Amino acid sequence: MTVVKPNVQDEREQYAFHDDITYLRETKAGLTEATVREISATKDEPAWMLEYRLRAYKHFEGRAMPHWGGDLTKLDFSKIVYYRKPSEREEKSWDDVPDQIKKTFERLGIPEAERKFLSGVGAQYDSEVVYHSVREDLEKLGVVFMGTDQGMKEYPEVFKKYFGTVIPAEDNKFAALNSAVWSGGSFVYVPKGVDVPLPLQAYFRINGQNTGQFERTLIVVDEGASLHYIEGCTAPNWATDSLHVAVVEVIALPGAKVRYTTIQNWSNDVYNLVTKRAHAHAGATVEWIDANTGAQLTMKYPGIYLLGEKAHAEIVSVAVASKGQHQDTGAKAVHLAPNSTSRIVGKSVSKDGGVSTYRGTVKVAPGATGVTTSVRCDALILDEGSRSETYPYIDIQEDDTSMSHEATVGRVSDDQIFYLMSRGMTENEATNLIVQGFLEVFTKELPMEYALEFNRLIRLEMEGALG
Amino acid sequence: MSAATPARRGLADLPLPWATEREVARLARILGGGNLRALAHTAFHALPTESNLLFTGYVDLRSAELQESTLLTTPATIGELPARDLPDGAAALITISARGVATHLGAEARAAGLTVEPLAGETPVAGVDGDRMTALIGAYWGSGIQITLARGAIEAPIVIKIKSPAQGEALVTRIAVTLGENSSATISEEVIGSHVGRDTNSGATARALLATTSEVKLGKGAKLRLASIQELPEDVVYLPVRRHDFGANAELQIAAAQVGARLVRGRIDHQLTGNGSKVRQVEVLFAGGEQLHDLTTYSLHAGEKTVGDLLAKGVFAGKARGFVKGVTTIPRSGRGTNSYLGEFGMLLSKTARSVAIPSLWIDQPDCERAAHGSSVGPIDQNQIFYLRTRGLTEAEARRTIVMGYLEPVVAELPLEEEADRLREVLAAKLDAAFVAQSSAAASAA
Repeated sequence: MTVVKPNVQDEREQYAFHDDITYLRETKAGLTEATVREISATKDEPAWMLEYRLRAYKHFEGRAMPHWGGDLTKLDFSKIVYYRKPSEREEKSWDDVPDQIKKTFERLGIPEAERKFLSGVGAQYDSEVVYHSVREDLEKLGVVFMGTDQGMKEYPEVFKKYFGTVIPAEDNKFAALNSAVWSGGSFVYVPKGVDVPLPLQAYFRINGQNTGQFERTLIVVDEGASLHYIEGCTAPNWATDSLHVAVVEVIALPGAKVRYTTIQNWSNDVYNLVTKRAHAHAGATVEWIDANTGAQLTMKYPGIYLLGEKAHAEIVSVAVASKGQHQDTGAKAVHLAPNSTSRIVGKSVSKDGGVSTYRGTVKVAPGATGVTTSVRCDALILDEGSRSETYPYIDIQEDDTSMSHEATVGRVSDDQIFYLMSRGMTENEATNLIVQGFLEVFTKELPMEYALEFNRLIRLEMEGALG
Repeated sequence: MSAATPARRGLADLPLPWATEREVARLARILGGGNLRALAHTAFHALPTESNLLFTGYVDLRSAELQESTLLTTPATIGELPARDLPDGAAALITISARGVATHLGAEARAAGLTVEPLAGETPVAGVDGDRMTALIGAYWGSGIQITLARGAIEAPIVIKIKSPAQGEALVTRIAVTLGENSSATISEEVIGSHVGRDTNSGATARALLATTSEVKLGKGAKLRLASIQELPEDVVYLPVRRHDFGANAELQIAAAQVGARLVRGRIDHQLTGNGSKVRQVEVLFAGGEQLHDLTTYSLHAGEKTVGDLLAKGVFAGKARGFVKGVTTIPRSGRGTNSYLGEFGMLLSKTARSVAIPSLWIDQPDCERAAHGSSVGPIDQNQIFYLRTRGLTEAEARRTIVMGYLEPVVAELPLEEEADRLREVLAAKLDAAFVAQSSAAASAA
């Protein structure tokens, strides 16, 4: 094995620490109807939401675990703490965030990033959003960016109109679980014609041991408006399993443009089981830019339903699976309207016994004439013992569809390594550079600061990959 | 069960009145293999129709109306056909039908030592424990042959004609082919209706079942060309199960065309265990009306430096559906694998549906190529325009384009007459599809 450089070790620790914090409130481990009622009561919610949660809980209880995808046999729902509240309320000023939590996010560089180039930032610590701010000029234009709990109370009309419409509680077992116990997440509304010039960012942090994080994000971008939303996720490495089950609903109304970027870097004990879906109305564009490097098991297939004519979907999904990790990721484009278009690019890297799965769907429903869609998925396997799986589903029910799909799986070519080594690189550096190049399709879509951060993450993952 | 009010059936239900222990015992008395049949019978009743979880969403056997069918048992002996029946240019002829198996070996085949014998009852069907259709055949096969060529080469094709049973009948038959070390042969399979010249019976219920295996074992360095044209009437359910075991450096070229039958549910297994073994497979699917063609190819590249080159092209008209699925597996032993899987579709009507699921499962990074490609598209209007400027009518232009799309597969057939016959069958089907479509459009207007 290659010796891990000390500075690299330090970088990883940047995410791996945890805080000893006394929670203001937490539910007992395990999930019963009483837990659901307790969460709802703590939040002082409207009655309809409690009913919704209970309905979802019932569905969750009755629904079998998915028997496809990753290994969920060790996931023990009874050991998870479903709600942990670290702070009294959501702050708008950074100075008001409780010291200990503030320290966490400062170590992760959040307020710094905000000052530099963000339109707004939100931070969630375990179950609750602790901080949210949005630039004053945008606030004046009517841009709303706040915790989902707060959004439900302050914007009940928009909230109730769209909540659960993209991903119903009964969609799948984990969507049902989230619908039953959700807490936190971002609520974003961009009014008609407003262009949010810089990204909004949300940062999700699981701190407590055996904590389940169930954030619920609802983004509504009104006609002709545009938004770029970025989320990042980290957790300390406890040796026990944590659970992240998010539901993200995005509604792009006619002519809107939404980009949703995720860099998922949970620690390797987290089960990351996320349902993300967008509705793209006529002429709207939705882009999922999704990277998964962390978690022990990720099952995530960002989907876009193209509901209106000429809607466009773009999904770039990259995954790196290392030792003990299974990245079961992919993309879905469901064409329900004429002349809609989609493009999917999936890239995965498997190493040190990691498993990457691409699982994707392209569906063209009857009536969706003139659709053009393309899928490209490539995988790299760096060593024996690692695995790559590709499962594309292509279901076409209109005769004038133009669909193309291509996939390749391979290793890093010896010629490329040899060439780079002849230019003075070590084998590790050469492999690292090739992998970065392979994933560039993702990196180039990021704002520069994030691209640098992502490349650093990849370098971290790649250390010790060879030898 | 009364036919007047058919019970509502699930997508994966396949009610067979004869899939019983008693029938297994009866068949074992006539053809042997009691223990193997009993195991297969248990597997058939225990397994789901689709055991691969990737594909459970794409099963539909509802058009198979077999709940009142009877299972045929044919004589265990093989009859002799007159020499005049041997097609021109063929080395041997084998016919399999409800009446039994008959054969005639030409001079070349006899000189080379080709044998065609009844299949021994104790010959296991590989894969019965993992696939329900394979288990069905393993338990209830009523006729079977073993074709063997121990050494040497036969240039001319061995023609196998398989005739479907009549309505209300089920014919379950096995064809085992063994080629010895460095031997080579060509097999040309014709899967046809029991009545020559009978019209395709579009829209009728499918009350006849033809289930067949093709169990090919290729010795070291053996080479087989295998062609199959299926043009069954549209009242037949066709369940073909093919398994190919490869010795070192063995090669198989397979060209298969699925044109007829109401429901085809087929499975092909390539077991590329021998180092340096190769398979090249081309498939044509042409479905119209209410037809469903459901085909899955599994390729296991277990040996080193094996090659898999698989291409499927489908044309779907009317309300037809095509489910074309593939799983290419490269385990850790499969160093230096070169594998390609292509699944392409063309839809000729708004009510047709094309599903492609080309999957890869790879544990060995040291592979030369592991790729798949898929596309679905309409007939290119620019090409139609171009051909019309050259003086073709719209119908001629469309026919030219579709036939051109399928030609790379058709050209793979070993006998030129067969290729020509398939071209005719495809062209006739294409014309019928366009006529059906324009009359549907006219009545809609």
